[in-house]
Amino acid sequence: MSQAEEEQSPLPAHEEAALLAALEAALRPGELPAEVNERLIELALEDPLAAPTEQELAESVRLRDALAQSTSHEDAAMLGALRAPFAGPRDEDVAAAERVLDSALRAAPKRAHGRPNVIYAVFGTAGAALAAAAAVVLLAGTLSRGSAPAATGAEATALIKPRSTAPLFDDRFETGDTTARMDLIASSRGRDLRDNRYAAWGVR
Amino acid sequence: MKPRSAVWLLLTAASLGALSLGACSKRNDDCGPSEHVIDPLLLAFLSQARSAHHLADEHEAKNDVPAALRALEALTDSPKPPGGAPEAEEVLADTRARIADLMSRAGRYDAAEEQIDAGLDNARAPTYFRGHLFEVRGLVEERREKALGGTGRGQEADQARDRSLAAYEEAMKLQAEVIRAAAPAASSSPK
Repeated sequence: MSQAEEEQSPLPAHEEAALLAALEAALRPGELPAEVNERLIELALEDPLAAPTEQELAESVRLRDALAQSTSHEDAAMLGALRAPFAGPRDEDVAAAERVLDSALRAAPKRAHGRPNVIYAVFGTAGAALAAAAAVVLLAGTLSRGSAPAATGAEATALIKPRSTAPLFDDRFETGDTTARMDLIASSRGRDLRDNRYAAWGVR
Repeated sequence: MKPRSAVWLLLTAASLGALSLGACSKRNDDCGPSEHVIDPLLLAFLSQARSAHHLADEHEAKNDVPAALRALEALTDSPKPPGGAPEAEEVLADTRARIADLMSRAGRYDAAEEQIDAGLDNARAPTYFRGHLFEVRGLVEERREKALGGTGRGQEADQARDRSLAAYEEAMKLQAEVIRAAAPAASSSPK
């Protein structure tokens, strides 16, 4: 049954009646009979740490047996799902993983023993040429900047620079507050360092 | 060595040098301190200062002034972060002011004066840091005056009082200057 069909199909008569009764109760709540009220209060005040009742003990035995023997129980599926993430890998899972790994390793191309020198020569020459080009560009850049900041270009403007801490303080200093001033200075510049790191990583 | 090989060797060496320069200029965290950005070395120094002052607080609370002084002098004796960051200079100035106060409480007036002089070297601009140093100088000289007054060295006591008054006046002048300078910018500049 599709979801649309499911949504359009009418509820069974008893479910529809229960739903209507619940809606009616929510809309126009009536008086509770005194004995029901008492029972609800009693349930609410029940001691959660009290000794289990006979019925609870019987239910727990039934659930334990169901889990041990893999027989049906209304709570067994939920408990199984809760236990699953904490269970270790099964032997068959490990074996399957090893099979996949072996197969992938067998399929990997073998190293070409016959041509390593040629490859090194080609990459070595190309690498040296690229490095030389980089040297020219970077040295030219370094020389042209002279005494420019250590960080380059847009990054230099993005990074926060050392500066006087005087703007952090609005009033004349008291000797007894020196430690508080140190705290303020260190935490303020700590934030700046973190911002600089984010900027250097390109995440700001 | 063949000339061609020598050229390649030279180019490779130059490349490596330039690449390392480029890399270091890009990431200060990885390549040591930078003179121009807030870096881990500066932060380490500021953290050291914070710890030193908290330690000194603990010792002062137990009336152990020599131990408090040792904690603070460990900071002023330690190497400054490179780059002359104003933060480091100001922290040192404030620390020297506290050292001077502690020394003068222990009757070490001349040593306290030396600390004030060194602190004024750290805080040359007209800031609360500099103003505070003059305030502490006033306090040091005031204590000296009282100590001398009780020993019959009246002339020296008078000189100490004059120095104290002059220092307080200088402190007031500096603080007024700081307030005047901060007033127009207070509403716009970020801290």
